[in-house]
Amino acid sequence: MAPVRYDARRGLQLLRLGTGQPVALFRHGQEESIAHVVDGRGRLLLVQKTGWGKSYVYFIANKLLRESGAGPCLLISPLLALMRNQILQAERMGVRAETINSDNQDEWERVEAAIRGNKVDILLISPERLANERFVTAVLASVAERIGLLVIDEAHCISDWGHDFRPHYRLIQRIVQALPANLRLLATTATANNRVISDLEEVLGPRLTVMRGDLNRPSLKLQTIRLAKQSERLAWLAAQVPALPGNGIIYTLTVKDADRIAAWLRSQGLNVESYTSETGPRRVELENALLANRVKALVATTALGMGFDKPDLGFVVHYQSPGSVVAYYQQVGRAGRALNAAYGILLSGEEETDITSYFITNAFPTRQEVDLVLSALLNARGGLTLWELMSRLNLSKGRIEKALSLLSLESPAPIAKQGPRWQLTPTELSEGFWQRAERLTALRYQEQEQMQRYVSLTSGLMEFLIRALDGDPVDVRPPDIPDLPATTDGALVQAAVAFLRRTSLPLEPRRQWPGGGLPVMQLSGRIALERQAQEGKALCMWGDSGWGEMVRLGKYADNRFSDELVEACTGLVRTWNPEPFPTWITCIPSRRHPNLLPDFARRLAASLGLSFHAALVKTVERPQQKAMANSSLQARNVDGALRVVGSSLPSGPVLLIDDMVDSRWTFTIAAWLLRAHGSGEVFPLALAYTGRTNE
Amino acid sequence: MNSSHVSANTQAVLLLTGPLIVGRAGRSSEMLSTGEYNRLARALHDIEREPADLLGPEAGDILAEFRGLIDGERITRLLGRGFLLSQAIERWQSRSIWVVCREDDNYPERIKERLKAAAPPLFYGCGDADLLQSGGLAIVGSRNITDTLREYAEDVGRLVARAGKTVISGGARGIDQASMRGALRADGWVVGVLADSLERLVMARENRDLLMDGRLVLVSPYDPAAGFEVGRAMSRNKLIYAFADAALVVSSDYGSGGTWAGATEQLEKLRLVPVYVRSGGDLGEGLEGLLRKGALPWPDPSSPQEMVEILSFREYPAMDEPQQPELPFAIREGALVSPGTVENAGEQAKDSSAEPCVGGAVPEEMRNVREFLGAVQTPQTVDEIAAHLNVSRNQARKWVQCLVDEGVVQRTGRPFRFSLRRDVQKNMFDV
Repeated sequence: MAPVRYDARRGLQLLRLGTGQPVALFRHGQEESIAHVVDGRGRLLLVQKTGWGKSYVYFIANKLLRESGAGPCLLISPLLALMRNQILQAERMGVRAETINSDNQDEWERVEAAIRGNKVDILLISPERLANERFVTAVLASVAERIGLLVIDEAHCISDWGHDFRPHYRLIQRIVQALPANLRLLATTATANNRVISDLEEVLGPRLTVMRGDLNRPSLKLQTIRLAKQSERLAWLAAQVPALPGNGIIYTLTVKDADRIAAWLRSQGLNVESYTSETGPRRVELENALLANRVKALVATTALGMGFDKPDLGFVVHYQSPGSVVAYYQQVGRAGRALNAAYGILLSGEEETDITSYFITNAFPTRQEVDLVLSALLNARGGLTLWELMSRLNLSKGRIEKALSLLSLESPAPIAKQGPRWQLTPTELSEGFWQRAERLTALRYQEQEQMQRYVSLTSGLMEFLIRALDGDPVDVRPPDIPDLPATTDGALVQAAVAFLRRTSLPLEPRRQWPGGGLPVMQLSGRIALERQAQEGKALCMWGDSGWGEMVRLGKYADNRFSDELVEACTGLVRTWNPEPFPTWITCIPSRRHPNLLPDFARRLAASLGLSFHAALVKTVERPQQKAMANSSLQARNVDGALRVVGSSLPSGPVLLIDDMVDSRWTFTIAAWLLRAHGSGEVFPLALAYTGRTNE
Repeated sequence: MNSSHVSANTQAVLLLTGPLIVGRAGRSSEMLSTGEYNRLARALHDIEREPADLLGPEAGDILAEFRGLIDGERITRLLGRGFLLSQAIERWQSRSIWVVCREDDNYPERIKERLKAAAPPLFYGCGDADLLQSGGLAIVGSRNITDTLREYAEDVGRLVARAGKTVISGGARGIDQASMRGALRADGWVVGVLADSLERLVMARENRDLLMDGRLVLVSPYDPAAGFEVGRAMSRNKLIYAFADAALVVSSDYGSGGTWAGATEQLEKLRLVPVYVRSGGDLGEGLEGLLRKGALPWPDPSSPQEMVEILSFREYPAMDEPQQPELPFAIREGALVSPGTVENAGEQAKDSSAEPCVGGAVPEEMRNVREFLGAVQTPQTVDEIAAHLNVSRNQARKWVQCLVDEGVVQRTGRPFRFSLRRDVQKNMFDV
C-alpha cells in the first residue's frame, strides 16, 4: 500500500452519505481526526462526549483507507449493543461492518467466511474475545496480518485509573504495547480525566496525539433526591415517570432490581421493559423500541451502556447511585443530547453503598483464593481444567474464573492456558499484582465517596461533575425547567410494599448430575425426566425488604417462622397454582434445627388444607451447604445424606419445603428420592433464595 | 531477562522474517530468508538506517530508495502484519518467552562474533539470557543410545556442573537430554538450543523451576510454536557449537545424521571451537571418522579443575582466514563490531570488548572490576558491577566474563553473582 493522503472532498461526501443529509458539515475536530488517522500521523486519542460523532471518524477514516487498498479495521469495544444503531450510518457509506460476539454464534461461520473473502471493512469485537483462544487462533489469525486500522473504543478502560477498568483491557494494554509504530491506532473515549489521559499516554506511546473536546451538557437538568427505602423510590417512580418528557432510561445497579422495577411500573400501567445482561437476544428489539419511542422507558443495568445513541432521550433516572462520578456522567449524559432540556435525576437509597461496596470488594480475588488456585496448579503437573479446579477447591466457579482470568492477564503471567488446561508458567506472581489491586480498591472507595458528595449537593451539580472530570466548568447554566418533587405519595408507598412482598422467584429444576457424578448414590449424566423436580418457587431474596428480613429473624432469632410467612406462602401457592396441584407436603430434614421446618410445613399444610408427612431424614451430619462454595461440592455434600423413611409414600404430587435455596442440589436429590419411592410430581418451595444476585 | 519489552528493531525483524504463528500454522510463505534479510539489512546500513526505521514515518522514502533492489510491495505487506505481530508477542510474553534481534544489545554476543552473517536474525528464549554468554561445553550425540552412553553423557554433564561451567545441548532425546540431566542434577547450568517447540518446553512443568532459578535457559532461532523439521535441526547445530568453548561428540553415525553433519561442519569449515570425541569404549565408525577429520580425543578430565582447563583452551589452530562472511552492517552504539573492518576502527578503540580476553593486555577497566570485587568482599551481580563502574550492563558483563575466563573471578548463585576467587584475592592483599 502506497502512502495515503486524506482526500477532503471524498471525506465530506462520505459524511453526507452517512448522515443522510446532503448539506452536512463536519463538527469541530472531526475532519482533523480523520485526516490524522488516514495520513498515518501516529496514534490518536480522541476524547469527546457521547453523541459528538466519534463513530464518523472511524467509519470515514476506514472507508478512505479501504479505498486506498488497506486491510480491514478491527474495532474493540466492551459493549457491542451500542453499535447497532450506528451500523446504519456505516451501511449508508458502504462500510461493511460485522460483529462476532457471544450473542451471535449462529452467524460466526458466515462472518468468518466474509472476513476471509475480504468482504468485511470493520470487524467489531469485545476485549474478552481477544482472550478467547479459539477466536484468536481460528478466526482472528486469518485476518490479523491484514488489519489496517485498530480502533479501541472506551479507551479509558485501559487505564488502571479509569472508573471502570476492565480486566480484559489489560490484555489490550499488552497488545498495544507490542504493536509496531506503523500500525494505525485510534483510541476513543467520552470520559477521561487528566490522570486517565496521562496513563493512556504511557500505554499508547510517547508520540500519542490527544484531541479533547468540551464536557458541558447544557440541556441537562440535574437533581438528586434521597429516598432511603426501595418502596419509597418505587412510589416516586410510579408517580413521576408518567409525567417526564419523552422517553428515557431508568438505571439500576442489579439485574434483580431492573426486573422488579419494570414489573412494578407495568403493574402501575406504565409501558416499560427491563434490559439487562440476562435479556439475551431481545436486546435489539428493546433498543429499537426505545429508539422508536414505543416504550416510555427501559429499566436497565449498565448492559444498556456506553454510546447508546438516542439524541432525543428525555430523561435518565437512577434508582441507586452508581459507584463513581465518571460512570454517572457517562450514563446521565445520554439524555437530551439533541434537546433543549432533559432530566437527569439521581435517586439515592440506603442499599446502594452496600451494593457498590460489594462490587469493589469482589473485583479482585483474595490472596487466599489466589494461593489455593496456584497451589492446586503446582500440584498438578499436567495442569487443570476449570472443572477439575472446581472439584478440588472450595471456591465458587465465579471466584475461580476471576482468579484465573486476572492472573492470566498479568504481564508476565504466572499462569497460561495450554489447550483446555491451566498451567503455571515460569514466572511467579509479582507483588505488583496486589499493590495494583489495593490501589484500585482504594481508588474505588474514593470514587464512591465522591459520588455520595454529589448526592448531597443542592446546587452546582453540573459544575461538580465537570470539575471531577478535569473539565472547564465555566459558562455552565442549566435549562430553565422546574425541579421535580422530592416527596412520595403514602398510598403508593403502601402499594409498593405490598408489591415487593408479592414478588416470588422461579426455581428452574436441574436436569443434569454434576460433572463426575454422585459417587455415593451412583448417579451421573442426565437426570431421568420422571425423577426431576418440577419448576419451584422462592418466596423472596434473602435479606430483601419484602419478606427477606422476616425469614432471617425466623431462622436465626426466633427459631420459628412467623404466621405471616405461612400466610405469604399460602398466597404464593394459590397464585402459582402448580399443575397438578399438590396433595401433600413434606420438608427437607435438618439435624441442627429438627423442628423449625416441620413446624412451618405443618402450619402451611393446614392453611392449604393438605396433609403433612415427614418423608425424609438426614442420615449423616454434613457441613452446611452455604459452606460449600461451588455447585460440584454442594452436590456431593448432599450425596447420600438423605433417605426416605417408611415403606410407602402418598402417591400424589407433593410440595417440598426448604428454608433457603442456593445451588438447588438439595431439592434435586430430595426430589429424585421422593419420585424413586413412588411420590407424584415434586414442587420445591423455598422461603428465601440466597444465590448471588449481582451481575 | 525481562520478557515484557520487545525493541522496535526486533519488531521490524519479526515482521520481515518471523512466521508469527498464533493459530493455524503460518500460511504466509512471504517472509524473508536470512539471506534476503541480510541483503536488506546491508542496504539499510549503507544509508545509515536500521530496521526500526521501516516502522517510522520515513519508511515510504526508504523503500522508495531501494526500488529495484527489493520487492517493495512484499516488504510493505510483511510490515503490514502489525496486529498479528502484537498477537504473537502477547502470546509469547504471557508464557515468559522473550525475543531479541541482532541489533539488540542483549543478543548473544558470541553468536554475532562467531557466526557473523550466519547469525540468526532473531533469538526466542526463556530463562536467564545471561547464561548464553557464559560459554561452556557443547555435548552432542545420537538420539538412540545405549544405557552406557547415557550414563557417560550424564557423568560428563555432572563434571561440567561441578566445574561451575555450562552444558550446551540440543534438548533432543538421547545424548542431549542425558548430558543436560547430569548437569542439572548436580545443580549446574544448562543452555538448551532448540530446533522446535520452544513454547511447549517452556510450559512443561519439569522445566519451570529450572527456568525460574536461572539454571536453564531455552533458546531457539525459530518461532516458539514451530514444529520439528529436519532442516531446522541441522542449522540449529552450528548454534550449539557457537555458544560453547569446546564440544564433545559422544556418539555419531558415519556420513549421515545431524551429529555427523554438525561436527564435520566445525572441523572442515567453521572451526569455532575445539571438537573432541569420546575416548573410551567402542568409538564406532562415526567417531573414528571424526578423529580422521581432525577431532581430538577427549582427555577424560577427572576433576573440575581439569574440566576448567579444557574449557579455557580458546585458541583454535590454523585460523588463517575468516570462515564466515562478515555481517553486512555494523549497528550504532557499537553493539555489533566486526573485527578487522577499517570503518569500525574508531569504535573498536572505545569498546574494549573487542580486545582479546586471554593473552592480551588487561584493560584498565577490567582492573577496576577486579578491584571493586576485591573491595566489596560479597558477590556482586552484573547490575551492581555496572552501576558501580557507571557502564552499560552489557559492557560490565563482557568484562566480568573475561575475568571468569581468566580464572580470576568465580560465578555463583541464582541470579549469577561474581566474586574474586579466594586464592587470587589473597594475592591481591599480599601485594
